[in-house]
Amino acid sequence: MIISHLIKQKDYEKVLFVLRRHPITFVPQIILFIILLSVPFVMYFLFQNLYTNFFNNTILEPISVLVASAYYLGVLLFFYGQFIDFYLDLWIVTNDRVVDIEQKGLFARTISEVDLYRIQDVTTEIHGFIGTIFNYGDVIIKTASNNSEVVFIDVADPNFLRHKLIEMSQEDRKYHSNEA
Amino acid sequence: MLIAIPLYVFLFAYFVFLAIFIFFAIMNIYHILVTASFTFTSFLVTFLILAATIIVFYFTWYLTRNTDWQATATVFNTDWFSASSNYNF
Repeated sequence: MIISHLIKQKDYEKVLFVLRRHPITFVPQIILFIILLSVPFVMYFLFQNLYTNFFNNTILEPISVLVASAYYLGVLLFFYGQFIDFYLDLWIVTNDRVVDIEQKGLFARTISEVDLYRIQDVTTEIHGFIGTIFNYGDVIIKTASNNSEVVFIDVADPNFLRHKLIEMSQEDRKYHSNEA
Repeated sequence: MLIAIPLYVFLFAYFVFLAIFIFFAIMNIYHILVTASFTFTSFLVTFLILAATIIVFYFTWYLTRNTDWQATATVFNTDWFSASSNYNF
């Protein structure tokens, strides 16, 4: 599936930005993945030194291989799930609206959208040392119609996006006021 | 009392886990496809996960290829406790 199908793109609509979280925010999961991968090696060396005959046992050896194999497959699946959760959070900005697609685990997803001309306020929040260095943060979009808001979480260059969204919102508002 | 189970029971348990693993892996790939997220990054991660899975399967097969799955593993034996209680300090 392509993005135009996902958002049911209108004829006059152009996709301007497809945003995801900044890749640096996925680094903690990669570090955790590497630590989890190293656990069986540590256990192996520990058992080899503490119980020298453990891996010569014809019963215990295949069981420990199966357990280690299941553990590795579990870790791979966990990492893949983390990646899906990270990568499938998607924000699409078109010349008409903002679409917010949030993946919550494997079996839950929320999709919401805001018309550009309804945007009342756009705020950016950059938190911490790493966020400042790598220039990523949250963009909070509030609408005029109700108290709902769309939040772009940990996206790259939030201040540029804020400028663009305000600019596009003003243009769209002009278009809609002329139309009325 | 002695409880001993054949090794192939562990193998069956492993296959059940494998079925769950395959189901969730397919679900993940399905999500990538239906959310228009099939990009170079998602392809690369999927490829690396699949490659790592194949390596895990290979080593599992390699390390267990000479195993006699009919052999039994004792999981509980009352003699273990009686032996420790008769232990003479």
